[in-house]
Amino acid sequence: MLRAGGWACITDPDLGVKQADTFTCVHCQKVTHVRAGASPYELGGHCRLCDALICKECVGKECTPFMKQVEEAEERAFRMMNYGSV
Amino acid sequence: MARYSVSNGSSGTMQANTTTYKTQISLTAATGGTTLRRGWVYDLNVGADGTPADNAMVYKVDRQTTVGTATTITAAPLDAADAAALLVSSANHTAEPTVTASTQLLEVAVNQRASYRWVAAPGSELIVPATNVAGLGLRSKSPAYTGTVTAQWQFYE
Repeated sequence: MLRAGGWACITDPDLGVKQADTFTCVHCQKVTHVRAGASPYELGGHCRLCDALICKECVGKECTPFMKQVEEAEERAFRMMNYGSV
Repeated sequence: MARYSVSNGSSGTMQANTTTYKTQISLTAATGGTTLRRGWVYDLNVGADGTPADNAMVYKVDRQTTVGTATTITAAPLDAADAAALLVSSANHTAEPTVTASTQLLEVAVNQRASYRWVAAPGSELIVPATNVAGLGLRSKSPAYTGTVTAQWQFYE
């Protein structure tokens, strides 16, 4: 996989070492293992707004980058902690 | 950014696996307002450490909103010159944290005799938001294996 988002390895005493590239969904952070020869449609999709790969569950849904969700959650938590309300 | 390593073998008593998920290690943001910081998990290793047998093991990483009841682990800095981690590392949970539904970030089923490792490329790490006690947990379950699991991950903050 070109520019893989990660690498996974299963070490099995019978099957040996099984390796796979992975990518992390830019919307929900789910890690998807990329099997060699798998259909791209089975693995997920590509968000044109984020210009990054997304998982199968996020295909067809609204673009909500995970970092944006993190910032919103942190902002809510900050307001709750300091002002007592969101 | 400082890098740290946490393992459930560091402290506490490893808990036996059951047919329901058992949290092995978790990483949560601090409880104080002045110590909140984001974290990024970039490397994890997990495997059963009991008598080898052919049983199914399921490992997953998902989000949680509480710490549960667990042993607090002091994360070991990879560079000894770094300060102590602000993120809270816990292991060997005796009471499960509150897991956020449908947030399985990483889920894999392997043979009990196999081990699993995942390494993230820069920019693809699993993020712990800087939100009070929110974080990630590495959990395991098995339909038949009732031994313990060794789990280790590395993160930076």
